[in-house]
Amino acid sequence: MFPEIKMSYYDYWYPPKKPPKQVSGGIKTQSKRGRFATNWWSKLWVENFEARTDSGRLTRARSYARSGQTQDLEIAPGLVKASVQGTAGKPYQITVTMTLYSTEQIEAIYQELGSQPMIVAQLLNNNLPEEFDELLKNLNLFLIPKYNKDMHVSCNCLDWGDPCKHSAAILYLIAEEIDKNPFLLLKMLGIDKDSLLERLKLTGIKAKPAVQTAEVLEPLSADPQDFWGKACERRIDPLDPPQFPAAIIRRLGAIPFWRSDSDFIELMQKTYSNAGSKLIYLLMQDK
Amino acid sequence: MLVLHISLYQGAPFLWSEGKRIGHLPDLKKAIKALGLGDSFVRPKTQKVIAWLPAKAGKHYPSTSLIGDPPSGKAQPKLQPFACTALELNFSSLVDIVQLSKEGNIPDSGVLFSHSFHWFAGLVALAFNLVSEQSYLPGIIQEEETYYAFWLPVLSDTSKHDFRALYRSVPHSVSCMSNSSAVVPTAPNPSLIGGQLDNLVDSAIRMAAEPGHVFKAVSVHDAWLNALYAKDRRIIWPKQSELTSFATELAAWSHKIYLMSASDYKMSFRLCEPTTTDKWKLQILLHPKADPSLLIPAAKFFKPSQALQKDLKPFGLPSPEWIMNALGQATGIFPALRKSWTVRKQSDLELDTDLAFSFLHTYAGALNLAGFNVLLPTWWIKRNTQAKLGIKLSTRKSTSQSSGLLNMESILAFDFSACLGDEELSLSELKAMAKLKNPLVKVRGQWINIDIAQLNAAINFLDKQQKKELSAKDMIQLALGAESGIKGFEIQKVEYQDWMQKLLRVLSGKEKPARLPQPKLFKGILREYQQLGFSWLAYLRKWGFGACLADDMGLGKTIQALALIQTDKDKGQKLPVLLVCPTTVVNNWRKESERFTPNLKVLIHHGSDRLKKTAFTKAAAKADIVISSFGLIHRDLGFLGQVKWAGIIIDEAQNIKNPDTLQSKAARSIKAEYRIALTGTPVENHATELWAIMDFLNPGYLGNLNSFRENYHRPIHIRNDKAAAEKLQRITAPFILRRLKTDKSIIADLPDKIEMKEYCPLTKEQISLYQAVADDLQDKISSSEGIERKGLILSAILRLKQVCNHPAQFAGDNSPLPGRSGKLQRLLEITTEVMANKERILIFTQFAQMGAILQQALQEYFGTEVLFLHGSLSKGKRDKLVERFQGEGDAPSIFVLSLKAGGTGLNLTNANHVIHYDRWWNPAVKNQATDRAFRIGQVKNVQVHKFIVSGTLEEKIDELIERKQLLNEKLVGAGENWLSKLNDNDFRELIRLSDNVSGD
Repeated sequence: MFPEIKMSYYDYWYPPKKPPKQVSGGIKTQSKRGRFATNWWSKLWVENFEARTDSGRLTRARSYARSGQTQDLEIAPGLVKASVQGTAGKPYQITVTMTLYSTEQIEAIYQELGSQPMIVAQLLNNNLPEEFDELLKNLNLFLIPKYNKDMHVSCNCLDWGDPCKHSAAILYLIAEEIDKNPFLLLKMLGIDKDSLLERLKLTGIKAKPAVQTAEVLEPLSADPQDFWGKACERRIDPLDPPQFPAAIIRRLGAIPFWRSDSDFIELMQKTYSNAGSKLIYLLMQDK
Repeated sequence: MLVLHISLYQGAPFLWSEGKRIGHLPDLKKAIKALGLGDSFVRPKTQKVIAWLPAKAGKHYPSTSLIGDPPSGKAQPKLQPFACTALELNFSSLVDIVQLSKEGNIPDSGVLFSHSFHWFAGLVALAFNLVSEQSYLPGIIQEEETYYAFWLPVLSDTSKHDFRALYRSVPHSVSCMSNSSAVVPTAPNPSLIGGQLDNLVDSAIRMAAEPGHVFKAVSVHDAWLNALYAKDRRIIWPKQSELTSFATELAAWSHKIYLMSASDYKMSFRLCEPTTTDKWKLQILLHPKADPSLLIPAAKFFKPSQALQKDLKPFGLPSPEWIMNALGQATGIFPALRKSWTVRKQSDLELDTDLAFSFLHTYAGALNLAGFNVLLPTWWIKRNTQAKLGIKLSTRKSTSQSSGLLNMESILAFDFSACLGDEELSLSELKAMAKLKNPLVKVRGQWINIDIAQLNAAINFLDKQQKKELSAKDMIQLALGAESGIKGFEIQKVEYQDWMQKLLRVLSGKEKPARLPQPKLFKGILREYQQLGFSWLAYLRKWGFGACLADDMGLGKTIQALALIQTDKDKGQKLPVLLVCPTTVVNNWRKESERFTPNLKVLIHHGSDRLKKTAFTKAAAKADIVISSFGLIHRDLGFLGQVKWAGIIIDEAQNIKNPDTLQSKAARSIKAEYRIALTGTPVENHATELWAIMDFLNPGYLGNLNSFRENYHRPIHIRNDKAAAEKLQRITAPFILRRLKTDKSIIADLPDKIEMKEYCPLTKEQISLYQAVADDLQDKISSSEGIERKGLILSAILRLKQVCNHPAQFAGDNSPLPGRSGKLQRLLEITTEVMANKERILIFTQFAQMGAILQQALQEYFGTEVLFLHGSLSKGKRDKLVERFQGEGDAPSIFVLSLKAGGTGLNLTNANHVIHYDRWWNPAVKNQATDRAFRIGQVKNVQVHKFIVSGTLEEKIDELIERKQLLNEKLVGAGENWLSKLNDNDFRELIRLSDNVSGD
């Protein structure tokens, strides 16, 4: 007898209702509800593919993105590869391809940015100013690759939707990340942050000469005075605890594509304030 | 004497001892015990290592001369290996290390802390600072194929300074350890110290984070988190490629923070007022952190000119990536900056008036908070000194307390009103202002920037509480400026009725209390400041407040207290006063009272035959002064507490400074109509000590101990909060009168030389030794004559004097010193006080042997070098000692001299305390010794303390000399021989131990 492997056409007609196979250690979005995009560029990114499919698929895609169905995600210039666990036994493979800026176009962008330092400054502060969009328009370039023209998505699932819920989940994940870090968007289009900085140094901003002297290991002194030393002239006074706990972590924000069940920022806030207060408590104890 | 060192070995700190032997484990254990170190040291994890020390022929150069002399010989010191057992310091012991280093050497422990010890404590303190200011990030360190999770410090400007200072002063002994006696270790270097700092920060956080926090390791991120909290720092994850790429991503994630922290520059914004046009200008400037005055327009750094590069050579140029980051961050805060700059157009940002105002109001503060410097016009900065909305209090006329006793809980009634500067505002005026809803309000012709929220709160407050009651405690603290306000309102003005006005003026030191006349039955004459002092005590007492007289040693606190007691007695006070003091000064009090207030009946409550229970309460009721010691007030609290006391006076109040001790609790629990504390040590240095004394004086004034720790001790000692320290000083100052010998008004009133007798007790051991020598002589003296009799007498006197000095001198046996001599105990007390006041002291003894004992005892007690000049030193060495003592700064502050070898021609003006530990009954010699500290050029007053043991021949001879002044000149002049001319009965009486002597 043959095992029952054949399914009718109608089984695929509508996306299966049953929930996807649960996975652990997948990449989850930070946002638990609401939107993935808050900035104008990430909103454009989302609009670009949301208009292409129905709201049911999008709802399920968002829940896939939130529940950590994404198992692998690799972002390279012009190419995103990912795998998403759906209802089937094996995860689906998703590929997103994008048209890259040409070398000449990138050079032109560098030229323009070199004369507009405030754009670079804001980019480094994770803000993509509208001036940058204007700059691209003047060069006849797009910021968000047009769906099915400059950007193509494929998934090996049987769903006909374009994008399917698996690829839409990946596009949501990317949306959330480029929202915080616009350089990721530029990276997909072929502009690398390090090369950009490297390149701008060439256009006139001199670097501080790095004073890198190799550490010389001196011999231990046999002079009793040097050996036993003198008193340190500076008193190290205790400092006040900061006004806001874990400010340094909040300044940096979440680690990109976090894949753990524990909330990183929350954990850090707890650790930072616990460590500080426990230490003060220890120092305060009367002996 | 042992010295404790800390060295780093294989990345961990190790504690080791230096004494007669190097790294001797029993020594180390002894030191740990002497320091009273806790659990973390109990089961030491020791390690045998090699310590490389500067040495000559197998003998090392000691780290301090208190350990011994350097090896002799002309050869240069060489590093030589020594076997050493060291104790690895675990993390919890580091807290103790920091505390110990802060306290400094502990007297009487026999343990000294080396520079390496303090240095390492400094590094730990820096690590703790980084943790408490939350200046660190979780990260990854890669070593070959292994990845470790690490909490890594991010150095702020302050901590960078601290680190550099630590590096500059690192003793080489920190790196003296190795595991080989063949290879000499290398000197400490920045990466060793930096690595150690990283380790300390990492350990501190691991220790403090919740233990046993294990995440299910389903991803590389979980594996990393686990390794951040676990004991093992290694990240365990099967896919090496994921680890590698995560390490890169994490480095990119935290890059910005390290970029900012590494920058040697800071960005500033300067807002300039419009000049020719109506546009404001905002300049973007950079300056090196090391030189904040060197402000350079940021634009110049796009193409730094040769001249600029030359100017900035000492600082280097800022990293362009950092400039871009800083600009981006500032733009995130103040979006208008985005319009400011292109490379083609690099001018200042122009702002219109509206934007300029928003900048002043909002953005300037936000930029400042984010670490930028903001320079604003002075008129804006000064706006806070403009009149502000506040609250005025006035005492209500109906208040009845016009005289009589207040206490801290007495309730006083006040009226409240709002005011703006000097202008009083009615509630309706306030309400009218609130309707305008505009922060700029014109009040009687003057523009004022009012906080609307505060205005509403004020209306709310006044609506509800037109009348309010305050306790005397709150009122006084308020008047002394301790509280800046009530519920967030500044108290602008307080109006008091006359009597209270006067009280507050006296309390705040603006006015002197009325001077009381010297009591009639008081013998002797009070100096001007003493009269003032006792009037002050009486004035505070009149209002029911306890007071602390903290005059310098030698200014006569005892006399001032006695004058107060006598004044009360003259006015008909029937109840006794309880006087509590250390055992060593009980006799002093008795003597002083006999001298100045002979008509007061004194009951000494001391010694094993003291009265108890009803016998005591009956006797106490008949006495005027009951003198007891700190040890006994706790033990006998049961019946001491039942006597109705006119007052309780504690002398040497530092004895109750530790609020948790039984004697401190007992002192605070005894009820009396008034309370006075006397002390010569500055009490204001340690907050908790101050609390204990203030709570004795004025219970409840500083709140309970827990709230005090929270409000003062912790901010002052842990966070070094200057405002809290000032506030504490302000509210306690009215109850503490401290006058220094050096005060101009006092100096004029003081003789150049103050002589005082210190009556010391005997210990039980001394009593039995004294008795034995005296008994022995009683038998022999009647059966001898002539030269033999004279010899017997003189040798007996010598032996009795030795017993009075110290049993160890009598026995000549090198036996242990502490706790066996009343004189030595008193000497340690006085010297402690002298050192606390940063003064210097000369100690004379007629016995070279006793001098050596004193040098040893003082060195061991204080852990500091004590000089000793005696007959067997060469002239050159003596001169050297004198020269060192006369030196500035950290010159030794204790100098022991043998009376004979002290010789003539020594110039010891650096001391202002002279102690005659024992007496040569020849005033001529004694005066010479005093004069030594009192040469021309002496600018300080000199205090001479003459030690006399109560009830012994010392006291009796002293009395004899005082009574028969003539004797002095004729007989005493010839040394002590005159004593042998006394007849048997007189001599027996002279050496007999008085009945009232009791060892305790």
